[in-house]
Amino acid sequence: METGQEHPSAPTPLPDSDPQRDAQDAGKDGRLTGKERLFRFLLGGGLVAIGCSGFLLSKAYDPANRAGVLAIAAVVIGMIYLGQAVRGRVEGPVHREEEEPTGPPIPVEKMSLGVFLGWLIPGAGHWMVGRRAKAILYFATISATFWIGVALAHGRNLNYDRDSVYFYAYVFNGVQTLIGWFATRNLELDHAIRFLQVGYLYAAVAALLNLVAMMDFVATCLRSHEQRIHGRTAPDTDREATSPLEGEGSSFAHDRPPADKSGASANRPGASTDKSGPSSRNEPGAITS
Amino acid sequence: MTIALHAPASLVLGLMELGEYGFLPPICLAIALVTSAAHRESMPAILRHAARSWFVLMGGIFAFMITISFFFEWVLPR
Repeated sequence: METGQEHPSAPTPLPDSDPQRDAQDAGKDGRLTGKERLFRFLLGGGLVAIGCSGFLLSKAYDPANRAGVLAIAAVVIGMIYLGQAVRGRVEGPVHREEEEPTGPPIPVEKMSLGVFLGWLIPGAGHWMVGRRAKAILYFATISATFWIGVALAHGRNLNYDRDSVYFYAYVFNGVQTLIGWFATRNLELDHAIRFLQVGYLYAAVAALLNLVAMMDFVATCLRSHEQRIHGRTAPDTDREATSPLEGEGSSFAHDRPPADKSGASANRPGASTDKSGPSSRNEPGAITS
Repeated sequence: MTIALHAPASLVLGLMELGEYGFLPPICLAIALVTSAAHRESMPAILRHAARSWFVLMGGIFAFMITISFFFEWVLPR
C-alpha cells in the first residue's frame, strides 16, 4: 500500500500499480496510441471502401460469384479495425498464458504424433494429451460442418476430377475426407443441386479449420513446455489423471516441478482471462500468439 | 423511412428463405468456435470469445448487406 495518500477516500492503489508506468505503457495492454488509432481508422476505412467497391463493380452481389466472399471479408475486417479505432483499444494479446493450464504438461516429444493424429481425426491430438473439452469441441464443430457440406452438395463435392482446388483443402481432414470420397466416388453430377457451392464451402472451411486445430496443438505443446521451464503446472492435486502421461509407468509423472504455492507469485494467472491483467503476460519466455 | 425498413426486412426474409447468404451464420459460428478454441484454454473463455467473434462477424456482414440493399433500393434507382 502506498504511503502518503492525499485523500482518505482515494482508492487504495494496487501493490503493483504505477500511474507513471501505466502512462508509459500506452500502446501495450491493448491500448492504442493516437497514431495507432489513426492508422487503424484509415486502414479500416480503406478496406471497407475497397470491399464495397469491389462488391459492386465486379457484380459480386450475385451470390454465385465467389468473389463476393472476398469482398465481404474485406468489409468485415475493415469494420473491425474501425471499431478498434473508435474504442481506442484492441483486444489484448492472447492471454492464454494467464489461464490455468487445463491439462497436464505435454512433453514436446509427443508433438509430432499428436499433429498426425489430429490430421487423421479432428481433436485426436488434444484428446491424447488430456485436453478433452477442446478435443470434443474441435471434433464436433469440424465434423458437423464437413458432413453438412457433403449433405448440401448431395455428396458430389468430394470429387478431385470435378473440382480439384477444393479437394486440396479437403486433404486436411484426413480420415473423414477419405471415407467421404470412398463412399461418393461413383456419384455423378446428374441433376441440379441448389446448394452445391455452399456444400463446397462448408466442407473446405471445415477441413481448413482442422489445420487451425493442428496448429493450436503445436502451440499448446510449446506453451506447455515453456510453462514447465518456468515452473508453472496445472493444479492437479485434486484431479484424477486424465492422460496416459500421468500414468504410473510414465517417466514424465516424476519429472513435474513442484507447484508454486507462493502467494506473491506473479506467474499465477487470475480467473479472468478477458481483462487487462498485470504485466505477467509480458514476462520473458511467455508464448503469445 | 419505408426504404430504411425495407432493406433490413428484405435481408431477414432472404435469410429465412435460406438463400445463399442464409448459410453464412452457421459457417461463421464454426469459424468463431474453432478460432476461439485456438486462442483460449478454458471452455468458458472459449465460449465467450466465440460469442463475441461471431457477433462481430455477423454484425459486420449484416451491416454490409443492409448498406448494399440500401444502395440498390435507394441510390441506384435515382
